[in-house]
Amino acid sequence: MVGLSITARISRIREAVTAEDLQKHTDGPKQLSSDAEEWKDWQKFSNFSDSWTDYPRWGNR
Amino acid sequence: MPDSAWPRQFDRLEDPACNLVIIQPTPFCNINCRYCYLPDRSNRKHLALETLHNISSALFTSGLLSQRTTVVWHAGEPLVMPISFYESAFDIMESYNFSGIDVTHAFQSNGTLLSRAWCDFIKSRGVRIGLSLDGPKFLHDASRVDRLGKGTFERTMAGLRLLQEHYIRFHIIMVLTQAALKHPDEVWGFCMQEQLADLCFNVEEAEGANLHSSLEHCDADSLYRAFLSRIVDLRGRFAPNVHIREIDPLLSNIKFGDRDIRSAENTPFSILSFDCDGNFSTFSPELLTMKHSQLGRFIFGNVRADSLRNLTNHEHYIRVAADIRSGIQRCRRECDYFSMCGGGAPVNKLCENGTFDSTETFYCRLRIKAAVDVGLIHLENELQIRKR
Repeated sequence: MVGLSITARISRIREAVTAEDLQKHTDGPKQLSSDAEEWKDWQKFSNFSDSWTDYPRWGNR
Repeated sequence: MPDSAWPRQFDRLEDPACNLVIIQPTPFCNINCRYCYLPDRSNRKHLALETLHNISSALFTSGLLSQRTTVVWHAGEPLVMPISFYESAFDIMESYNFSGIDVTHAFQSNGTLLSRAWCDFIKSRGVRIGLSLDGPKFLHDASRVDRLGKGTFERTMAGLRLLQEHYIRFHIIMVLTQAALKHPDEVWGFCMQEQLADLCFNVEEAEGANLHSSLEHCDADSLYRAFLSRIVDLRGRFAPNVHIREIDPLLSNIKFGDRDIRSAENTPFSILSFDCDGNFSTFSPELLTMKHSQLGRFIFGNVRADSLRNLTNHEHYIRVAADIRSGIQRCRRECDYFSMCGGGAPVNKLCENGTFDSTETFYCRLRIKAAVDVGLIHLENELQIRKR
């Protein structure tokens, strides 16, 4: 995509997103239950895009 | 972006503003990582519970907290403090929580002090935990050493095993040094072998007490792009459900545009940081412990004497906030990646460029620009967008 701006490339991607993909995104991550089940699910469906791990990016730790 | 979208907290507080609180239980750390940014990590002083009463009162009466707020115990190794300290601390904080804020406590730990008793406590109180682990032993032990210079890999892995045995979810934060960037396959293989499903990659930064990064004298941009591309490729082929902090929120934002592009670090009061003496700060959490040669410390008050809401009247805050705001405006005017960033991390601007009122940093070239480029290429391939 050499020559296209970042904004233009993002627009093309958004136009190409399917309705199914959008629905999946809107539905959000799977709800989890008990500890053991949660652990298994976590291994399979780790999708914590809203988790606090989005935040502590700062510093070498 | 219209001007109305700018964070008005620069001029006056919006309610609620804060969803992340950092509290320093102690500056002390039991290990001595070569790249650590904390300047005071040999100091064994600790947060007095009386000071925590002051912090809690200030926080919960401020009206600044979001309905869901995370309290991260950090800026020193949190598990140096005994479990009884946190039992009291959590109860004290809850005793001030009259408006029923949903508070999640979190530790970012080197894992070496974890025990069964800690795991029981973490489970019983629903504490979130992240382990600092730099991947396989040869990478981890190169930087994450104790005070005798010995590697801490085995001790951290013992802590990791305990968390797994107790079914406690955790994320991993890996600091990417020059050596790590050259070994994406080894890093990925290690993560798969150890069943690590929630990964965060921090590039080694020159900030605070760490004056020089191992990435300064190499083509870090190319190395980071290659590393991230390879990790994304391996993830896609072998473990698509592994969460990677550097890439997943970004891909979601590119595809759906549903994330707030403002950076918490440059939005006043989005993050509130307290040291163990009750001093408070905002913006990048590293500012809490930093001392700059010209600007001094970035402490904007103390809970014993000052109200959080009066912070905007603090002379030093006004100067810092004006410079940060000006820097964001320059980013907005000059940078094609602004819509995926929100104006950068103040602490990196200060440490790298000498002023908050500046734009590009080494950190943003990697963490934002390179990552966005990798994300765009990945999605263009995935969605089969025809190349011109």
